[in-house]
Amino acid sequence: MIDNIVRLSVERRYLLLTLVLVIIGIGTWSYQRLPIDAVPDITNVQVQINTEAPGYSPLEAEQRITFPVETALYGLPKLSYTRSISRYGLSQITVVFEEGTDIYFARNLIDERLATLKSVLPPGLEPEMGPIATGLGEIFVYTLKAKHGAKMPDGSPVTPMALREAQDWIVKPQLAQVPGVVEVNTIGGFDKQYHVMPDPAKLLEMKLAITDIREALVSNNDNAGAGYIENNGEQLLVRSPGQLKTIADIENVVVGHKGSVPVLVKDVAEVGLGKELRTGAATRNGKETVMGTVMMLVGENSREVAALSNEKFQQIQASLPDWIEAEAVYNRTSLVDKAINTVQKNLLEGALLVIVILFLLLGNIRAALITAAVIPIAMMMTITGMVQRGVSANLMSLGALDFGLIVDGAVIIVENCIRRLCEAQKQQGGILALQARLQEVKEATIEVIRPSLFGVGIITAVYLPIFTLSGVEGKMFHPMATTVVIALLCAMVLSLTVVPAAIAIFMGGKISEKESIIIRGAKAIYRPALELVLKFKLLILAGALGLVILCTWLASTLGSEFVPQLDEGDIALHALRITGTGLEQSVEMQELLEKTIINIEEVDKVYAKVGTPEVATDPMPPNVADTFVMLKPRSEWPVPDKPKAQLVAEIEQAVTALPGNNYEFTQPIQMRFNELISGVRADVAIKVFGDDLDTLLASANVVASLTQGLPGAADTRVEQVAGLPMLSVIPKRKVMARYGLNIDDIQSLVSTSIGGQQAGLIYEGDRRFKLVIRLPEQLRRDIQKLKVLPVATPNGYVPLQEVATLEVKPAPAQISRENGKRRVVVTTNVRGRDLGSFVADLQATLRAELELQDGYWLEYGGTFEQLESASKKLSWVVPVTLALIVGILILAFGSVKDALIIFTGVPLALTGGVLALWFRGMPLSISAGVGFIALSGVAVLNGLVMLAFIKQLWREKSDLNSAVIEGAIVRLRPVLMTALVASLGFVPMALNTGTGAEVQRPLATVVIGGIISSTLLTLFVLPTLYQLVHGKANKQ
Amino acid sequence: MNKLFVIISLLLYLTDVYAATAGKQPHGAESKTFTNSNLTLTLRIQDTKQGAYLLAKREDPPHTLLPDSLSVILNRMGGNQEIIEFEPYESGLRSKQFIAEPHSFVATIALSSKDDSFSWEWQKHEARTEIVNAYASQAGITTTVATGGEIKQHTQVYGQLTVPPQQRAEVHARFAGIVEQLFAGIGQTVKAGEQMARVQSNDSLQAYDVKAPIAGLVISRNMNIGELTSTLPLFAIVDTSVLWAQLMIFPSQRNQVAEGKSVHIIANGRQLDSTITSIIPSPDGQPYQLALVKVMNKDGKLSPGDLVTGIVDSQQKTVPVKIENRAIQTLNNKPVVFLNEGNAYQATPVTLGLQDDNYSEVVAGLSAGQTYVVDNSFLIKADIQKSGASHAH
Repeated sequence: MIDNIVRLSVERRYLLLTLVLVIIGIGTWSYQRLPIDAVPDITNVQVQINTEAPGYSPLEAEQRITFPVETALYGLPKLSYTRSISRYGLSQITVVFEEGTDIYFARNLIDERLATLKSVLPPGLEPEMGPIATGLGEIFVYTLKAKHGAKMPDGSPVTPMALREAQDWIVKPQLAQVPGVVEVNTIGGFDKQYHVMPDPAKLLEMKLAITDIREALVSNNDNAGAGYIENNGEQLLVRSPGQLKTIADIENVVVGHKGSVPVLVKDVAEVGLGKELRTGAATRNGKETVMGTVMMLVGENSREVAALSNEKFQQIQASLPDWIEAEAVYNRTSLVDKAINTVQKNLLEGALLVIVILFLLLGNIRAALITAAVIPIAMMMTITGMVQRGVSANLMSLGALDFGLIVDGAVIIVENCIRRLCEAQKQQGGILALQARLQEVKEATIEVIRPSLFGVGIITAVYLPIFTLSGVEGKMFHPMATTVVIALLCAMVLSLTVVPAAIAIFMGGKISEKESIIIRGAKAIYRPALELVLKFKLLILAGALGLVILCTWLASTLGSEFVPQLDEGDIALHALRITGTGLEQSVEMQELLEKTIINIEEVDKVYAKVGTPEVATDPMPPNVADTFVMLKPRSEWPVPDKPKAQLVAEIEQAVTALPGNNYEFTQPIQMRFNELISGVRADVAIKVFGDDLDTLLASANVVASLTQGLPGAADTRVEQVAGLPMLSVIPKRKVMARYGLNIDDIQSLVSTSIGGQQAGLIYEGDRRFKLVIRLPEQLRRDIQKLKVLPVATPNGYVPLQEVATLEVKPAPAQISRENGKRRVVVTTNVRGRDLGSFVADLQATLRAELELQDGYWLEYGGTFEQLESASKKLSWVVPVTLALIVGILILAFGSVKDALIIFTGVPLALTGGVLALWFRGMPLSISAGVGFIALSGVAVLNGLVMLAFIKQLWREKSDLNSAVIEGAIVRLRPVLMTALVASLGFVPMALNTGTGAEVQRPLATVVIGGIISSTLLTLFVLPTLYQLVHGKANKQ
Repeated sequence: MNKLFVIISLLLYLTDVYAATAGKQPHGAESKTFTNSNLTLTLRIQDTKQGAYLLAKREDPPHTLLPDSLSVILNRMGGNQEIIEFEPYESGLRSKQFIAEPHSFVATIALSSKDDSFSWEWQKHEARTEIVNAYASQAGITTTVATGGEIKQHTQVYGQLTVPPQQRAEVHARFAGIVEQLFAGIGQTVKAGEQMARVQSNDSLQAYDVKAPIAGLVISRNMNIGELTSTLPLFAIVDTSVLWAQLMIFPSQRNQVAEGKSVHIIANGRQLDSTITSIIPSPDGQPYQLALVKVMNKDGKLSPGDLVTGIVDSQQKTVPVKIENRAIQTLNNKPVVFLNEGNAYQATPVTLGLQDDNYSEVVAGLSAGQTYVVDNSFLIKADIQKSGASHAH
């Protein structure tokens, strides 16, 4: 079949070249659709369901909202698990679906369930799904602040409320229109509200209750439409406007009567603009600000959407009042550009190097160009494939591409064709006739196609284990493996078809195969060297074995890291304060923190989100602030090449001196991923499930102390759930009865007085603002004053403390649930002991010594689970892959012996990689691991090409010794070429220091080092081994 | 190949172990061992339900520790010194008194044996933190010295203004007859004894004068000239120059309100000072009592029926130590204030007594002259507890 394809390609060569144009066309079209990002998206398929419940405490939020919503989600198809948190004023349920579930399908399912829920939830509460975004979604952030010294038109200073109004009604509606934007999330400032603040004493005097005010406001604030009338043939629409517009309007609403005199709102209350009870704030360079975060729809091109958002943002500036300064503080475009530049630069430089090498070694510019042409065409096909497979272009997916590897197959074919054509021309003593030329090309191609096909097949096969990685590792490395496999397959198809066709067309004239000086020199050295080596077979083999052993030991001494972390160029840090810290207090502490950070010379901007934004994509309590530190370009640093780690250490040192803050340093995108994935990040997690919070906590504490007692346990801790101070107003039922009061009277008084109650909206054109009844600030803040808050009774009043107990007590700060049940997690890490035995020990101990009440149970989780499943998978995938490779080799040679000879090359190839890592002082990482994988493929490919030829020669000449030497010398050029192009193609990657280079450097280093050792192996050890093995057989 | 995957799976293990190194510091050590040449002494704080003891023990067996040989002085922040006395306990010594919270001190320890004496120092700190002065002032942390002073506790009550019964009068015609003349109208002020009407008696057909029984304002006039008098009063007069505020005192407020206490009546935005004249039960069986307070109303701006707020000076006491309310924070569910000495801040539990709007009496835990944190005391609490702050999503 392969022969037929090659024959067809050569005969229909012009058709094929036309097809190439089509491929380029499709590739260009696909390129427009290729999502480009800095890093692969590792977010799982999840939907957040947020329910805002103003005033609800964690307990109420859980009981009234979280529980019914979770229950409604039971039995969703493809549901993986649910987890939830209930906090002050918010219930958030995260529904995680199985990998590969369509997000829109999942959202539809949830939407259906939520629709049936409406009647179960307290009125006025609407569960909403979070934006359709992933961890890469936050692509553009901007802040609004008052211009320096600017005043509002009426001469008053610019308030956070005015800034928020501009954000809500000018900036946000316009930015939300940008294609690809799914949400513009606001944090900071104050939502403008109209507040009616009743004076309790005046209400008593007028014998009115707060509910009277509310009723009056609700029933005096509406427009009514009344159809139309026809008047002398003209149609008149009828309407009766009655909406309240100004503060004066509100003040003049009639609340009741005293005698015959109407009592107005202003007689019993103050009316003014007031601040909402906000859950989040934003700061920038040490000052409060209003911040907007543009979130991108899943699967969009972040670079493009960020750029469009920025463009729109610049346009919006013109429509803003002149006292507002709007500034973009984070733009993903710059990071993506930097990362993509790194990749592009590497690929371009690699491609150039490859072309130069080809030209130098082939000595034929046309042949070199034909080979090099494979690079762009294969790239176009790869891009098409990536778009089809939904893989985004990023550091990881493009990082492992090596044009050297891609052209390997083509190099072998082109080299053989030229050699054959050249020989044929020499024999004929002139230019070949067309038919003879075509025949020569066909034969030359078919001669080497098999080994090169098998080689590519093997390289593809070794990538298979990567596809079995699951979870975060899988998400990181699947795109890489997919891209490489697509590229290799494309290159394979091209070398079967387009390459022979192109040779047939373009290599018509006299072929000047000047064996270049390099090759001639190499051959001159190689022949004696090989002959020498063949004399000391055993010594060479022993040396090779020694090298393998040495490198195995060396590998064990190398440090290790997981995935080399992409340096995003900026710093993010969580500033953590104790539970119960108030928002304003937290903002004050944050301002001080930012003023300290901004003084560091390398820092350009610093901004932070404190607490929860409008859309609770990241529901933080007020005591946590996500702080983002944007750095100046390195050229502006006092010491431009200061390592980032050192800068982070300096910042850490500076901020640690500040009172009351604890810090966790990370990077913006990384932070977001952590927030979304959010699973337990310790080695072992023991989850205690049950009903009663106190019992849960008590059991968790027992679990923790038992765990701590085990050898190997480290950093054991119990999830922080308690510790939020809470003021409880507990009604005294008996006393209340004496005054003729119901519980509800007190509860609604307390909630209206302190939390406020909405009594409609005030419209200002398009803008609408809440009208809220709430006690004046000086009353609602003061517990002593609240105690004497008059409660209206049928006969007058009674102070609140008479009918209710007010006490401040710590209460749960948050209630976490998983799969529909309350849980408290105990986490522990394991040091100096293997995880497996620790977990077994732990389970046995807990089973023996922990007594749980009925209805309480334990579950185990943590990273050990993933490790277990990963090693289980690898334990069968790796042998299968190895068997597969041996199978392919056996298929190629029809000989188990030869297959094994080639196979022994793999560990020898790896030695070079290990040495290179050791030499550059790099740790082992998954990136390096991928390099090793690629390397094994190349090693096998080289061995295959060499042995196939030797074997053929042996069959022709039936003299093993000369067949080995001759064969090896003839294959010197392709082996050197493939080795040089593959390793030089990676050189720019290995030396680059740009953004994202840290991810690619280990991979490139391993491949370069490994190819050097693998080439030496192919050139010397393989012939030796072959002769040794077959020599014995020969003698017999 | 195989090795490669072994390495990778190994990596997965290693990296995860490395990933989670950040741990919490263990709780401050509760014991300390001192060694000198051949002598080993261990001090340990033992918590019991009643309180914490300081235990001392020689670890070099043949020697037993005698109470007299050991002297321990705890120096606490703010210059307090506690001399600990010991008694034999098990194989060592135990302090006679409890060690007060917080267990944060610099202990000076001296041990005398037959021919030698040793001394050590034990710096044991908890609920304590250090903040560089520059940052503390930048963060707005201020301190002040605790002093004695007055605490004025107030109780806020509401009530209504009423006219005392003796200042209200109805003017009747003594003998039925025809009203001949009327001298007063609504809104007119009359003096006591002033002639208000002239009525001709039906019996005697003599006209007689009807006079004002009290001075005051005429608030109603029910007859006109020529009408026959009935049982209805001719006029009603009230004297509003002095009103009574009837303040409602609910059961929980009774302790704070008593006859003779001064009251500030706030009515229509004005404050009038007075005292509680008497306290009477509520007339119609309501659960509250009424405190009667005289309110002068010379200018007539107040009127009966107005609702007024009364602020009763319920308790006034001169206390030896008082602190500002802003300084009080809770740590481990106990009220504390933070002592300051240089860069160091130490939480110290306090027992609070009387409290008014601004100050609280300190019954125990702080003495006059000690420096404590007033503004932004929360920051100190946050700093002490910050190691426990974690990010829970």
